[in-house]
Amino acid sequence: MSNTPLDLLKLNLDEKVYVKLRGARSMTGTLQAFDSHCNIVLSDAVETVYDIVDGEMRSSERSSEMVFVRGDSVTLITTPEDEE
Amino acid sequence: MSPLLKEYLRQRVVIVTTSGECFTATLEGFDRSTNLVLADIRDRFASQDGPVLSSVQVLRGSEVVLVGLYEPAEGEEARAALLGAKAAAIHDTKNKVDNEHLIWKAVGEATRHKTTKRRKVGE
Amino acid sequence: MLFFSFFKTLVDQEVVVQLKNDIELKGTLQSVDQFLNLKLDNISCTDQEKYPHLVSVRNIFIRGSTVRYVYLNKNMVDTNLLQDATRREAMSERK
Repeated sequence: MSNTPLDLLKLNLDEKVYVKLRGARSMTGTLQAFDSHCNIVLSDAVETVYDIVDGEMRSSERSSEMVFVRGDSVTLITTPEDEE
Repeated sequence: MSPLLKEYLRQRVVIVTTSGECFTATLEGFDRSTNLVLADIRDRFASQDGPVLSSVQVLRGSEVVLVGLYEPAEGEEARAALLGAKAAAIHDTKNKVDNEHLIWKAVGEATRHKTTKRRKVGE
Repeated sequence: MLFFSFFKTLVDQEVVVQLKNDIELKGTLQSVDQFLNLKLDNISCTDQEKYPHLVSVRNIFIRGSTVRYVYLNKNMVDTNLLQDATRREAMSERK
């Protein structure tokens, strides 16, 4: 009955999520809000930006206590693999 | 309607586009899609009585990144060329990352490794 | 409409906006419209040295579509209210 993508996302409210973003970026954080455009708000978020320099992968991280992410950058939302 | 630009009408503004161009212009009009009618378009760091790049132009809203009200303080305009010489080129908004699929593949492999390990521990 | 309302609650607060062209701006949120276009006042560019393009600019209009992130402080947001509003919005959007 309630198996639309957004219904599923509703179950993740107040839970930790992993979000993949355009431009080789990802973010984990606690899902506080979303809408049908995949605009989201995460709290206690950590963004990771990946980069390949001379064939070697590098990543840098940045934390923020509360962040709004515009939906058009979002490519995937899931639960993080390394829970517990 | 998007009245947010109303305050800028007939004033000098700084505009940045999605392709990374930056210039000053007089805002003559706009609509709800941020399409802009611009006059006296000049390079951002050129003097305001310098050469005009284009006298009138319509800039499509989808090309607009930001519009800022240009209010140079005393002497700031004279420094513009100096600042311009040091200015980095503004990136475009496309965020194209070369070989992004290879990056995700590498990230995926790294995390898969972790999960497998954890499963072994759980068994 | 959820995020339009959300941003309206943030008016007069100081926010940091990261654009898709990697420029980062700090300023006081002055207004927002239904496209999530933002107007900021008293702006400063995080990397003024590299991007002096906005020296002499205090008040700025940002087209919503070019925003990547808006960084906020925790105390600006009532998370319970926001989660409830999200649940309600998700309900109302279902046909």
